[in-house]
Amino acid sequence: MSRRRSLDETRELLLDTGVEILIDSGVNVTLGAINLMDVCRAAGLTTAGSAYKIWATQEDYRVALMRHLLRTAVPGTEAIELMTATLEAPDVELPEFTELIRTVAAANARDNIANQAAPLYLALWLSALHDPVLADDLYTVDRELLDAYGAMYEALAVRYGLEWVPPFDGRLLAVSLSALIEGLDLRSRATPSLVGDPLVRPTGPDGTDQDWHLFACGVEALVGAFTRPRRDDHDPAHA
Amino acid sequence: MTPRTPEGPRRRPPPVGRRSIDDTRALLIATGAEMVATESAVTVGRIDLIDVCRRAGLTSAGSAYKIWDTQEDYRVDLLRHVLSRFIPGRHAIDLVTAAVAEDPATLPPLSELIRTATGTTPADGDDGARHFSVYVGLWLASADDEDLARELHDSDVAVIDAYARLYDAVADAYGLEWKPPFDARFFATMVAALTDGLTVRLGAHGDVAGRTLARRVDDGPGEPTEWSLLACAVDAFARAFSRPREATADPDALDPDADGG
Repeated sequence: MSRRRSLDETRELLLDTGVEILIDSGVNVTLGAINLMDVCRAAGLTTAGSAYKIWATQEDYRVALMRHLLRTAVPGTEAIELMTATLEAPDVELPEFTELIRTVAAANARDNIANQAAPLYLALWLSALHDPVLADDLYTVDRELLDAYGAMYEALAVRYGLEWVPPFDGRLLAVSLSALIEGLDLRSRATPSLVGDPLVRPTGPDGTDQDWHLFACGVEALVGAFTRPRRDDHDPAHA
Repeated sequence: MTPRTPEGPRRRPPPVGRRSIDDTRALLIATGAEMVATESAVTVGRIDLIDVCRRAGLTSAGSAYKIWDTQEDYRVDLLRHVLSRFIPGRHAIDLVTAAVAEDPATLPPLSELIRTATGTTPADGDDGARHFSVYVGLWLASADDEDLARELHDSDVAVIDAYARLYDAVADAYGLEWKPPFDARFFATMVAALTDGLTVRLGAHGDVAGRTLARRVDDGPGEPTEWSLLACAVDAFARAFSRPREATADPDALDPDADGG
């Protein structure tokens, strides 16, 4: 090595290595079981000395790794906030509502499957059952995420001339949709046949067939139940 | 309802005579299941038979290896045991089955049946969430483990099929049919996925997914009733994926929400 690694670089290296170990071993190595010495070895460090300059204890490393993992496993709120801003811009053209749900939900589900770290997010929730510190951290991150999604759904409702049927709101929709996509993802990872091929529905122009992902069908059902056309809205497109 | 007692598997008195093979098997399975349920670092795929023997108070693993040839064999047996103990939503199945078996004239409105039969979690209470976490942990682990994936797949297909038969019976009792291309299996899969997703969050933090909502069905008059988010979603699915059966003799049976208010 031509120069010494800075502590910041070592920190990044050991956090990334920790995530790799968790991804490679599935959740067979849970966060609670990860060993900082093993991580240092996997990262090619000859001693754990520099690691212990960054984290006083293995427990501190575990907490930092969990936070790092959350950033890796879940989309940042920036992307969602950008989407919200787009929805609030009046000059942006949007597809018809059903088509929006069909295409965006399918893309969401595909992205989730492609994200190797996504199952780790669920694994974190499971670890949180045994770990109040983790539960608090997870709760904070999850709440920010759900708030961002909730705001996006609120903007979406406004844009499409919808209002919420009491007691529902954007946040409850966000919780439901997160749970649904995670539950479907869980099943489809283990045995894709359980979630299966897309359904074919005659929702295209002139009743032509279109592919619907299961998640998109669920989104349509939940949005349909949680919202209704705004009562003071006379736009015939949403009647 | 949950077979595991709160204090864990019964501790046996020190052996006076020799334990039978059956006793040893039961002891080691119960001990392993307890370890998986309570220790975050122990999973079915990783559990060590020697550790289990030590925890169970056996001085050697010799008798365990008379029962299972390999550690893998033990893990498969343990997995079957964990799966058999966890039948998601047994309470809901009983409730709905009983309601549907009643005289059709006394059926509650479908929304009311959904509200009362859908708890917040598939197994109530903290212990339920913990149990459930083992189940979800199995799903996660199965991504790397073909044997486990096969066992889970078979178990899940059986559970989904059982639910699908139940939902078909409910649809029948309420004069509903599935809107093509949906069917009872699809409905069962969606409800199971949503339940899994909500329960995972619920176990760690109740107020994300677990608070009750005061809801008026169809925004109708009268006092609101208490709904879990899960029940609201199941109700939404029932409305979106089914419709009144065509050409039914009894028009009153057509509308699932005829007296939903």
